[in-house]
This record gives sequence, C-alpha cells and structure tokens, in this order.
Amino acid sequence: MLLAIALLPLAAALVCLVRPPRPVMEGATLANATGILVIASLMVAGRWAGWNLSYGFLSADALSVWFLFLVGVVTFLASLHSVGYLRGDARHENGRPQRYHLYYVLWNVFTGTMVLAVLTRNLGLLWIAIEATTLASAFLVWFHDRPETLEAAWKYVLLTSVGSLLALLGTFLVVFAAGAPTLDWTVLRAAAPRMAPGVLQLAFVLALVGYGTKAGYAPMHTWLPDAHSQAPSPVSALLSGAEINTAVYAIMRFRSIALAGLGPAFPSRLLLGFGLFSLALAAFFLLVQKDYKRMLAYSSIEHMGIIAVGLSLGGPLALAGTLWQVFNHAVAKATLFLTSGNILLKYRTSRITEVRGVLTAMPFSGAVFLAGGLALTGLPPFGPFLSEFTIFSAAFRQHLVAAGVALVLLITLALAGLIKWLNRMVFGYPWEPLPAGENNWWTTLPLGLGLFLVLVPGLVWPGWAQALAAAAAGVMGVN
Amino acid sequence: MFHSLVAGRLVDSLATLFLISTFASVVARQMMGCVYAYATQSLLLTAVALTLAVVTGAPHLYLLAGLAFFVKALFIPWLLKRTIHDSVHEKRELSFYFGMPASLITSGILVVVAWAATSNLPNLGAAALAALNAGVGTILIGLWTMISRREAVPQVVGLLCAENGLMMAALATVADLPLITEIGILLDLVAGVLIMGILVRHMVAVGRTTDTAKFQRLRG
Repeated sequence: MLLAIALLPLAAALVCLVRPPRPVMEGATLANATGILVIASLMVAGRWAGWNLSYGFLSADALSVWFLFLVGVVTFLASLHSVGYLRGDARHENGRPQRYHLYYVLWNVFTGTMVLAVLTRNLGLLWIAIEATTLASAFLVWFHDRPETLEAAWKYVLLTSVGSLLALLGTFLVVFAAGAPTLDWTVLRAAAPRMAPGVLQLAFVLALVGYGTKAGYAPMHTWLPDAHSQAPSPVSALLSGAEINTAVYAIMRFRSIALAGLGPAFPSRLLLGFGLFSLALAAFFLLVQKDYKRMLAYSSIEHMGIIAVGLSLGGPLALAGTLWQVFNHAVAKATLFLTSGNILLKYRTSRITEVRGVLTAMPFSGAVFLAGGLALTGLPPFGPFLSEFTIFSAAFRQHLVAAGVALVLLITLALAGLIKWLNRMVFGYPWEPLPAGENNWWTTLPLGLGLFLVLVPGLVWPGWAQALAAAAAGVMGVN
Repeated sequence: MFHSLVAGRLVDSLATLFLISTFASVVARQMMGCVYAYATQSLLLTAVALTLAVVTGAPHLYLLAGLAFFVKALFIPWLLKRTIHDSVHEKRELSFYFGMPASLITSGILVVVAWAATSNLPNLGAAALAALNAGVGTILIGLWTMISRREAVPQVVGLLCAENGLMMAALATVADLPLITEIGILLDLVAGVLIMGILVRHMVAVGRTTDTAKFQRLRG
C-alpha cells in the first residue's frame, strides 16, 4: 500500500512525460489523484494496526495518516479543477502545448513529493521530500509566464531554500545531540531525554525557523503571498491546502523531540510567539488587501498562526482542535482558491475592486465563495468554527487567558477584513455585463465537494475520525 | 596517534582555508569571481571529506568526497558559468546593497558569532571544532551575501556557500550519516541550481537584467 501510493504519482508523471495527447495526461492525473485518495482512505480505515504501516524507508503512523488523508482530499479536488482550469485558460491565452505537458508532469511529481513527506519517519528523507515539494512546484508558480510570476517563483525558491538550509542544520544538530548515526524519528525521540539541552534547544529553534519559513510563519512569510497568489489557481490550492501542511507536519515531529528532551515550556513559548505574530501580521494585511488571491494567501498565514498557537497549548483537547483545524483549513482554503480560479477565468482580473456581483455572474461559484469565505473567518456552521472554538476553550481551560484573548481578538480582526472584501465582491452586479454561468463542469464539481467537506466537520466529528485524531495526538506527545 | 595528529592539523588548516574562500566570495567584484570562490570552497570541502575518509577508513566518506568533487567543484560551477555566459555580461561590476567594507566587517562579526555559538558544544575534538566554526561561519556569511548582493547569480552563490558551510559543519559533527541522505541532499541541490539557472535566464529575457531589485512589483 505504501509503495503503491508512493509510486503512483511517479507513474502518472512518466505517462505525462512522453507527451501524450491532452486527454491522456488529464486521465493520468485524475487516476493519480483518485488513487492517492482511495489508498489514503483505506489507511484511515486501517485502525486494526493502530494505523502503523511500514515498508522499507516508508512508514506511517496515525499522524502521517491524518496528513496523508488531507493531502489526498486536496489533491483530488485540485486535480479535478486543474483539468477545467487549463481548458478554460487555453481558450483565453492561446496556450502553448509544451507548457501544458510540463504542467501535468510537475503536477504529478509535486503530489508525489507531498505524499512522500508525510509517509516517512526518517528526518533526512522528510527534509529531502519537503525541499523537493518546492523544486517541483517552482515552475508551476511560474506557469503564467509574466514578470510577476517570475518574481514570485524566484522569491519562492530562494527564500524557502534558505529555510530548508536552517531546517537541515537543525536536523543534523538533533542527530549530533543524540550521538548516534540515525535519522529515524522514533529513535531520536527516544534518545531526546539524554541529549544536551543547549544543543537540542538550538536544533529546535533552527528546525522551527526553517520549516516555519516553508509553513509561512511571520516574519519568514514574505514569499508566501507572492507565490500563492501568482500561481495558477489549482496550484495555489495545492500550495496553500497541502504543501504548507507538510511543513507543519515536520514542525510537529520536531516539537515531539523537543518535548521529550526539554519539556513543554521551551517549544510552547516559541510556537506561541510565532503563532500570535503570524496571526497579527496576517490580520493587518487582510484589512488592507487589494487582490483577492493575495487575500486568500494572507488568510493561510493567519491559519498557520492559529495552528501554531494550538500546537503550543499542546493539551489533548488543544491537539485535537489543532489537527481538525489543519484539515478544515486545508479543505476550505483549497476550495476557495479553486473558486478564485473560476472568478479569475470569468473576470480576467485579480483586483478586488474590479470584481463585483460574482453571485449574479456565477451563482454557484459565488455561493461557494461566500460560504467558503465565511467558513475561513471561523463562523458557524462550518468546520473551522468548531476547531477554532476547541482551541480557544483549551486555552481558557489551561488558564492561558492572555493567549486565548489574543487569539479571539486577532481572529475577529481577520474576520472583519475578509468579510469586508467578500461583501464587496459577491453582491451587486458586475461592472460590465458578463456572460452568465459557470466556466465548465470540471471547475464546478470540486467546489461542491469541497464545500461539503468544509461543512461536515462543523456539524459532527465522526467517531472513527476522533479515534484517529486521538491516536495522532498520542504520536505527537501531549504537554 | 601521529597519523590522527597530522590529520587533525590538516583538517584545521583546510577549515581555515575554507573560511578564507568564503571571504573571497564576499569580496568578489565580478560575476565569475563568485563562482570561482565557490568552486575553490567546494574543493576544500572535498579535501576535508577525503582526509576524514583516510583517517577513519569509512568507505561512504570516500564516496561522499567523490560526489562533492564532481557535483560541487565541477558540475555546479560549470552550470553557473554557462548560465552567466548565456545571459549576463560576465565581467561586469556587480551592484551591492551594502558596500564592500561594510560586508567584510559584517562577515568578520559573523565569524565571531559562529565561534561563540559553537565553542561550548560538548564532545568535540579541536579539529572538529575548527571545521564546525568554519562551517557555521560560512553559513552565516553565505546568508549575509544573499542579503547584501542585489543580483541573482551572486545570491545563488551565497546560498550555495551556505550549503557548503552546512556540509562542513555536518562533517565535523555527524560524519557517519547514511550515504543515501547525502545523495538525496545533493540531488535536491543540483535540481535547485538548475531551476534557479533557468529562472535567471528568463529574468534576463524579460527584464534585460539579473538585478533582483528590478523585480519588485509584488508588495503588500
């Protein structure tokens, strides 16, 4: 199963590499996405072994399975949308076929690197896979060949590479502190209590700053709004919905090691600082945004901040809320980025002021944009409301009143910004008459699916998912 | 005993030369100067790996030295040179955000910072400590170069120097890691340089420059 899910994206990429006609590439990409989602679902269902699986250098535990499932969902939604988006895009800017080949090859490689990142317990391989996600997606960011996309791709590669460098140094320092030549996470965590505290502290700071760069923690976030807004929308959905979560996954692994070696105080304080700072910065930029794709990118930074705060609380309740928040944000953000792609295809602009009356021009996309946007702000009845509420209550229950109040205030501020722009875009009538209706079925279907998946965790957390979340929290280690 | 003493001295001297080559990349005024400084630095890294391989007799260190030589001292400099030659006027003076004296003073301070940060690490011999100092110092200086230089290729060289520094630090502390990890890291490195090279060429095609300050439309 592990081998199949790791090789599937590679096979799909190889099929696209021989430059088959477009329907074959679309078929291979959809087969890959479906395969990943099906295998991930099977692994979620595989509770008989406590979700533990291992094959060679691939291995999975409950935490990997949680992240694998959300990577699978986001990949599936975005792959469906990709097909429609590229068809729509080709109609508009007489597309060059070689760029479409490259798109589908890199798309499948990109999904493969994300699957690999969450399916390994080897910290070296984890680093290699996460760096490879950047390398595979750099040209995807640059797909619309313009000076802005080039700038975004350049910043993306250069700045996240600096982050990776620090993360690798942190990884090596953990190994050095353990005094044994192994990169196995389980062994390193077991050795953590015997590590020199000074070395382990330095290692955790480096890993947090390094992987935090990739996750978009402020002040290392500067590349994120550029890359996530300039990429084609389905790519933005993968970047914001799945890729940055692989970095969160890495941070969770390093937090466990630090927790085992240093106790909860040190990692929690750092995570809380980065989390609140990211939230504050994102809330401010959300209020003054002019571009709706950048708005969604800053909202990702906001949610990465919430997740970091949840992680810093670290109790069983907070960790459950954090894991759900990761999933809810991933699906909601992917859905919204896909919707923003539909708006972009229709209006041909990403400036907020030039878009009006989405609900009249595209009733379905407009409704999803509104509902998904409200979900992202943390309003009921959607998933993010419940998971954010869980994190608040965990903060108050742990008597961290200041952190809880700061969290509530900053999320409210971000909500104000998001609602202001949503309101302006969705209602009213378009400035110029536009042909009414959706672009095509491929760009419409994933929105409905995505919105459904955002709504369900706002109403009910199924028992099997709760069990998986509890097991994943157990893997991470409770404060 | 004598054997390891000589090796220790050798590693010590090589690490010092390694740090000097980092300073060379800081002061290089022309595009190719940066690349040659990087190639020299990679050669010195190879030499340290080779010395350690001879002392410990570990086969994977020989392989590592070979890989470092072919990939870092030959292939990547060749790739950079080709990128520069195809696209940029190679003998042109480079532009800085910070002047040369300021950059040199900062680099000197960074070496002291690196020394202060590493000198109290436990379980390290004198030679390993020297290599670690040189490595961490090079990482910091490399990152500083990325900030202080305005142009794309020297920024890439800054990143590559920092990566060399990281490998030097790794040799000093965790030399017995599985080779497969090192190969993966090298593959990522090569792919990264290839991608950055292509982006640089397109910067020239689009904006007739590799000055990244000219590519700052995205704000806020």
